[in-house]
Amino acid sequence: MRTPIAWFNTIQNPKRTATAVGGICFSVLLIFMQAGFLGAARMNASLAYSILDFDLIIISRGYLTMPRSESIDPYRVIQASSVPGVAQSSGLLIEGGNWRNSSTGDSSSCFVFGISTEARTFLDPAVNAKTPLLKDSLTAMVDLRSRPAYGPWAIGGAANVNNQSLQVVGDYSLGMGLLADGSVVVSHSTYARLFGQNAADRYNFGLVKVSPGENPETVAERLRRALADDVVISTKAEIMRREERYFVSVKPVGIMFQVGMGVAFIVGAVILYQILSSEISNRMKEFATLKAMGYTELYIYGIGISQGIYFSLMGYFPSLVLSFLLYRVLRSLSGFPVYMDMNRALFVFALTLGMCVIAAALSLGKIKRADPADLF
Amino acid sequence: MPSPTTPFAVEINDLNHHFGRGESRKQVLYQNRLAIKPGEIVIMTGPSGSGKTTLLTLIGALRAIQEGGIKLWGTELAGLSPVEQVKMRRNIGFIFQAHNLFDALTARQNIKMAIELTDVPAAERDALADATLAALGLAERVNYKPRNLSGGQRQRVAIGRALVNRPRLILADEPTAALDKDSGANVVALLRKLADENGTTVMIVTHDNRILSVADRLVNMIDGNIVSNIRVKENAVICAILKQCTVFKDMSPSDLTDIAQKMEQEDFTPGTDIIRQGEIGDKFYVIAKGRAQIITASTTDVSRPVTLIKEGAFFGEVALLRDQPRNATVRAQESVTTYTLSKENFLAAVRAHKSFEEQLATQLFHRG
Repeated sequence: MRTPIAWFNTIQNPKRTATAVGGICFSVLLIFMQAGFLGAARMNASLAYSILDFDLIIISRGYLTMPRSESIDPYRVIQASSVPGVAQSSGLLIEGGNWRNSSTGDSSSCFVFGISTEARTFLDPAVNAKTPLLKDSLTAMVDLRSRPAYGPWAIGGAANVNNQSLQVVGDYSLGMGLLADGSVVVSHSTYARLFGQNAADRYNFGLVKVSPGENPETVAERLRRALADDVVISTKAEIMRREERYFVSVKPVGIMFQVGMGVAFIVGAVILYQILSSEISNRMKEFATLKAMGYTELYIYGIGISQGIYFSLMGYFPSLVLSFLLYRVLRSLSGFPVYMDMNRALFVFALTLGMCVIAAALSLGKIKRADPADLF
Repeated sequence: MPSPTTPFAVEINDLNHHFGRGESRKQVLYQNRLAIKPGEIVIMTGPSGSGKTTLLTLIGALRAIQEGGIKLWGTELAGLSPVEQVKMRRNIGFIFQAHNLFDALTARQNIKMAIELTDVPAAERDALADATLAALGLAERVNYKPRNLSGGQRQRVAIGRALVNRPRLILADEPTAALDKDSGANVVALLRKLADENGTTVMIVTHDNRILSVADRLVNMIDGNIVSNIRVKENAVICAILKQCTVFKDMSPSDLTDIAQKMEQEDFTPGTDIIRQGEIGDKFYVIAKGRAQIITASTTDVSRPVTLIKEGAFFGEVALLRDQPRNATVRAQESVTTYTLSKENFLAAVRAHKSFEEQLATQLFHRG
């Protein structure tokens, strides 16, 4: 084995190395945070769809994103139910409302789902089992993962939404993340009481279940032919992808996190560049000596690159561990679905190596200037 | 890579070098010429700025050659690609005035950095590094980093790094400047040993008078010119022989040194002709060792009796002085070593040294 000069160079001055690694660690941590937020926001974007039970969705031609969708004619939903291969077609209403905390009187945002009590709207059978209870006027189910700001509420008790007192008849677990502080599910008729009859006249979406054994794509094609041009038919996977894409690349929140990640990346690359650059400047004579001894330029570049990699790895792993902890803290504080997964760990690892590549590319040019003729 | 056909380790031919460009272009080396054999230790002296160091970097393939040429073991450096240059440097051990050790590495690891360029098996590298350090009196310091070593110790580690691969050429800039008398002598002895046993050529730039005695050759540079190039030991030998030679016996030591400096050694095997009658004469010969016969073939084809000449004898001057063909053949009877002076140098010496001219005249008169 050759003497690992790059490693010895890296650890020669522990204080300086620690400072350097600290800087890299910090920027990698920032990337992890931003990536975490972005991932959570993405997950959050399609969260509402993920709990609903449907194969195809009827949306307005002017659909932008779930909370800002144009409404569709309820007739389209009725039309859809007579298309062959459609097992169930139901209308869904959604709107942002206000929840009043019963003990403090403070208001929080509340996402209201207006569902057809006849249909199986949710994936969770336990929730579906409770939907008939909503048939009674001014009843609601409340999201268990609503923020603590909702104050105390209980099944059998009362809830105040849009200044209407509702009876809580059940609960479910969703968590609205960035969309709202919490959510409730009500019937179409209760929805009309909360937002006015006009709001309930048209649906936001039509949820379609296809008959067992039917290919959703084929049924979607039939629906497209059967229904007027004012609606668009989309599969569940498509609408979820579309929602995530919209959230990540169009909504300011998604862009913010991406820019934040980019900035953290650049900061990391700059820090690493400065470390490598000063390390190389300090060792110009040593590099020139290596050249005089008969070491190739490639070997010397190898030293610089190795040092870059050592610095990045020394920065990456501590921040990986720290991120785990910070994600946990964040989840418990905000209920925001920030989870570390292998993909993110690898993604940030790749970014860290990317920082190293950029820093190395910028700083290694100096090695060429190490001139052994200057040694004498 | 190195060609075995040349007797020289280093051959410098009409080397010119400039620094700077355009208006500020300044010549630092002028028509340098030097030929050094394997095993020779050359000490280069001269005031700072005289071009010694530049010459050293050019020989070490650390700097691109502009004009003229440098051959190392027969390979011209000027034509080498950067990769070949790097390979060539592996034959060379550099000792810098500043030690230039690797700060992050221990003394042993510093030496190993050099060993790792060779094919010494990994298992033997530590032992070789330690032995090298021990030879330099640093056995106790193998695990010290440069920052924990004294200046002299650092310099010795650097010397160890340059010597450990037993390079064919060592280029050193003030190698003993940081060393005390004993360490300096020790280093010089190591260099001498390497030169004698390994045929390593050593070039040292130094102002350290204590080590001059190790030199086989002293080269003095002034303002980019090699002003003197004295083979110290050989010169002494030649002078001693010349002293016995009647034609030189009245010359002052400095005049003798002057002539000896310009003489080249030539060896002849028994039976070979050193000069042949009728050929154009271009050299003057002094026999340093062995016996030779003078054979004159007259026009009547009757050879005159053979005359034997031995060490201290000289011949070849008549053809040079009178611009005539050789008037006799001289044939080596045994192994003969001669020192020769080219016609140009011979005539210059005759003009420059009155006593030489007089002696020659007397001798010629006697010889008839």
